[in-house]
Amino acid sequence: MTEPAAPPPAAPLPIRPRPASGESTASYIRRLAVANHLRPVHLRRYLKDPGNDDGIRLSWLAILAGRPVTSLQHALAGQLLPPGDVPARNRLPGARQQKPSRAGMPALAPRNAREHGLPARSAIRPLPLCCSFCSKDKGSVARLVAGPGVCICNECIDQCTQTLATKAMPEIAAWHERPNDELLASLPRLQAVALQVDADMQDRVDTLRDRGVSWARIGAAFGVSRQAAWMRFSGEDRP
Amino acid sequence: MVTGAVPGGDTRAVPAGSGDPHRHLSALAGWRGFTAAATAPPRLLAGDRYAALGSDARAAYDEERLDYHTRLGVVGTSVLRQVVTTGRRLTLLNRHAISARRGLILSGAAGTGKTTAITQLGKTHEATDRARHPGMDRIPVIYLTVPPAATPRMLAMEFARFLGLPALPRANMTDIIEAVCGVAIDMRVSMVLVDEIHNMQLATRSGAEVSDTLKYFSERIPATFVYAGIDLERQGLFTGIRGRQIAGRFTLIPTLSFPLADEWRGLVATLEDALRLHRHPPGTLAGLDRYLHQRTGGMIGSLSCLIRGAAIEAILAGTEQITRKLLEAIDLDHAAQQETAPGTPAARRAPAARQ
Repeated sequence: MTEPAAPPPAAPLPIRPRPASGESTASYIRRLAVANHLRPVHLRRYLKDPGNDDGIRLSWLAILAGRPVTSLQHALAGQLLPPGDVPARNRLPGARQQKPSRAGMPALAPRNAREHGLPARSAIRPLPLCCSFCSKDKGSVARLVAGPGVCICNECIDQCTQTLATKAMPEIAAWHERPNDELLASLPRLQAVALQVDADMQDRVDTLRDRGVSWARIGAAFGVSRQAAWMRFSGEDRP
Repeated sequence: MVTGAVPGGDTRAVPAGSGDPHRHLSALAGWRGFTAAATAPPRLLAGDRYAALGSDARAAYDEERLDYHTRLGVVGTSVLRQVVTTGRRLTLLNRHAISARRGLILSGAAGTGKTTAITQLGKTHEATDRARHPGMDRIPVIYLTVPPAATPRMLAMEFARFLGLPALPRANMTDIIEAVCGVAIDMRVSMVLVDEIHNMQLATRSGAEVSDTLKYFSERIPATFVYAGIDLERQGLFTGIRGRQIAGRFTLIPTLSFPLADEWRGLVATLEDALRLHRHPPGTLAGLDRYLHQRTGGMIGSLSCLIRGAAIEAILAGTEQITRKLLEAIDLDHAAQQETAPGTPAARRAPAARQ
């Protein structure tokens, strides 16, 4: 089925959020749509370049955003490459810190992010990355190794290596025997890990969607319906 | 009172000097250009300096004056003052209303200055809003015209087009309305001007649906709605269930042709004062008030068109004055041409000949 040819935009959108430096094009289009109460999927489809399956019409996006094409290219740098050219999201685990979208993005407090019209999931994303074991952020440790959604720092790795070498487990009380204060203190650390995993999952689903993988297949991978997958990851049910 | 520049008449007014097709009043950029425009009349050179101008300098000087005379400012008629004061009162009354907001309807024959009055009301409101909230990105006023044979979707698209929301494929009516209302609320729209409302025929099914859509917009957007159209009382806008609801919420201001009285003479004198011609003896037009009234049937739009046309002829021909002979050579609109006796009911029954 072919879409009727849509006319190019005549004027900039009434509400024009600024692109965050290093932000992905998909994320910027989503924010632009949400700020103007448009459905993100409609705007994405409207901007899609019919000649190129993965490309978007950058000149149209520039008109809608009320910014010159060059400024968009600058802000959304590295994200406008065709997906064949190593998309930033698809690098091996461990190379995470070099990603421009994480390292270059200013850490936004959740409330601040909501004011900027970021989807709720990005708003609660913990920045910067931290060790899933000791909660130290990557600035306060020498190395941080990333896995799927989780990270570990060199200090925790050393401790693990020692534990395995001595073959004697250190004496640590099981969590339900610990005092209240200690349990309460552990909750934000656990939450930070969960959010980090969530954010990674969202990134992977976004990439799959950008590549045209259907919600049905994504849902099947999670063992849920396509509707459930859409509700969880599309970001379109939120106001 | 010369407050700004907008040509009279009921067609979509375009700010002069802008060739961009997107700068219609019914698009945000055009509307902003209109509300920000403040044209000062060009300074008239002394006679000897004017004679001493070279051909290029003279062409540039005449071009500037031609441009000025194509618009010639807005004359503060009693209707315009009434519309602006009533509109301001209603916006204040509606400030805390949660439903059943009050509105304003302008109804009258073509060429009686309805569009000028509501655009001036919008301009005043926008200026007040800017003064109150300086430096903030707000859209206080939406201006749109009802398209002929309108459907609800076309009306919603007119709202979207004014705001700059693109026509997205696959977006349905609900999506468009949600986007328009969401943006209007976020951008603090507090006045919605709907022109050419006579294009909405309540007797037809699609017209009734358009009316319902407009009603829905007025429920969702916390703004004062102002409608203008030709002979709305006669078109059945206030009959039926929908009509009674409109009649119960809207103040009607009729715009009529002017009788040959002091106000008419004042209008002619104001327009004459605004002229920038070299050899025009002041008071000539004021002396021709009876002739002008007979020519135009007391329509402010036709009067403005006649005097502006004559002024441009006078500059182009180099006579630099407006005489009765020159005025007779200017063709007027059909409605005014048909006028034989001034002030007859025919003036108010004039068909939509200027559309």
